Amino acid sequence: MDQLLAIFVRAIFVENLALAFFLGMCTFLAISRQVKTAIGLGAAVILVEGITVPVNNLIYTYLLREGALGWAGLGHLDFSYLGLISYIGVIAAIVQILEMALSRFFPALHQSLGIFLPLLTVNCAILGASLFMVQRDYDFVESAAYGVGVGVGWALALIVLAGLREKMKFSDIPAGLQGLGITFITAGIMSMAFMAMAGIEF
Amino acid sequence: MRAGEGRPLRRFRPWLQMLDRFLYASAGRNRSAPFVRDVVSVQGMANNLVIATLPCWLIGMWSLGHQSNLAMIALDLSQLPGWRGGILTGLGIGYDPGNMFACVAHGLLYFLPAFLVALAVGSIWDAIFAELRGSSVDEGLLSCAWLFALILPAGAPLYQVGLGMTFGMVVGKHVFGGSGRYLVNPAVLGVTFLLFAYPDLVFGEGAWIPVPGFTAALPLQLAGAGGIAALLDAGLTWRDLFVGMRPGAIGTTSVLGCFIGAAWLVMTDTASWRVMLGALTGMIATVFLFNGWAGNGNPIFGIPWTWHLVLGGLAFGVVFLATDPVACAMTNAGRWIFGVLTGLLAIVIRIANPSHGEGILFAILLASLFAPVIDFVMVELNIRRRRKRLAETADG
Repeated sequence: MDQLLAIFVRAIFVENLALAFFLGMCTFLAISRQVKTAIGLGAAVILVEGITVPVNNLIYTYLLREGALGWAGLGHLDFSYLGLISYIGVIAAIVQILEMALSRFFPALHQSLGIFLPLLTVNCAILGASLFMVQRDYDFVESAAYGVGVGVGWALALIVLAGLREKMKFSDIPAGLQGLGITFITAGIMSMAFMAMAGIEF
Repeated sequence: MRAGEGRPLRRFRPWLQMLDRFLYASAGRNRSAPFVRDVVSVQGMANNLVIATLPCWLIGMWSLGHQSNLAMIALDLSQLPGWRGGILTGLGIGYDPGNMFACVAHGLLYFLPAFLVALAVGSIWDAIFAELRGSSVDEGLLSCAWLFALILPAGAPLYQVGLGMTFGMVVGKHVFGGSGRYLVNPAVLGVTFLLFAYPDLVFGEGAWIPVPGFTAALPLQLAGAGGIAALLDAGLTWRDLFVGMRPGAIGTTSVLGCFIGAAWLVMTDTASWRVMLGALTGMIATVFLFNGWAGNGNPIFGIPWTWHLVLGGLAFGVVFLATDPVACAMTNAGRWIFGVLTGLLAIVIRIANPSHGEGILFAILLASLFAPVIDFVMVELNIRRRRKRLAETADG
């Protein structure tokens, strides 16, 4: 239990995908203009990460890994080179379902997310989480904790950035830095502040 | 007027403006509503902050000088090398740890260069941005440089002071449009930048008591290694820490001074008491959690909150830095939450993260980033509550 909590907290604060690994930057910078939209996208990412990472873990453990097919008497096969394409397939399917659900039940949010919702398929934060899961040899429960954790961490970073950008309405930013420029600087300041969490030991 | 177009003093306009600002004027004038008429201007508030830190400043300088003089006796040094020693010996001030004036003078010789460099570098950036953007110099430079110098270790090299101030002023303040428009306190950002860039600033030899050949461990490091017993072994009682007799940054040594400053800030309505009380609450609650949970057996887990209050720069940070009205939350309920978050993060980073000497600056930085979201939630809750009330009255 302690171990799961450690994985979860670590994924949110210490190894935040957006602020420590700089993954998923395009969506991070594009959908952070308003807190409300950011909350919507954040929830979507938590959902997608929370489903895809454990599902990919199952696929990796029982189909792809070397010796994974032992249950079918095919223990000599190693399909791990099919990893990338399988993970992307799972992610694409989940995102497609999510998009249909959102356009049916939350049309306003679906509208404001626009192209960035289908683009979650190729969001590096989401694929990155699955690859980290494989690299770190998480088992099924651990990968579920990790998936939800990275989702929450990424969503948190996104919402905080959106809050800061809303507050920047009161700022007087030099002409050359308006828009993306100041957003990059703000994300940098956030990343620096989150560095304080690096090295936390429990 | 005297520095208008074509006048001889034109070139020095930004600096003349800074003098004006400090004495009476305000930088920008609103051209449209809402207007606020008040006896206290923005500059007045910034000056209040500086006035409030004066007790900390005086006690801190005395403490630094006193401990340096004691260290010199311990090392059997009759004269401090370098220009500081030249001044102290040349003016006949001497190195008597019992002489209050000699101690304050010794401390001042460390504070003043850092402060002047910070002020000079800051004023240059203020001037550059004011000229480039065709605006006038804004308020807040003095208090920013002042706080910046107060939270730096005495042994900080002056080029690092200049670098940190540059980072704080440019990245923290001017790219967002100057005073009142930034997201995080520029002084805090500048020092945090230095802490990441130059770990020796805090952990290096002679960082806190800059007498050559003398190494002083911070009370916080002692407590981290051996709990309260280690502090008492080193001759540091709770009263010593509270009054300020210990190694530390000049501003942050005296918790007593912080309490006096807090009273002044709350009396003059410069800083929010909600943030301060919230931080105290968050700090105490988090310490209780850690006390109850043995953790990895590190002695720092068992230290009670009364000691945490007087360790490190927590009190100074909470009173003078976290309460920055621009960077902290703006709603009253949000200020409580902001405070609790600051206290919580400060203790978590202090206890669970031994790689950083002090948690409070990082905690303030992180909490400031969360401040707009806290406000957003508070405002949304308020809207929802009022909508509900409206619906009820409409029904009735």
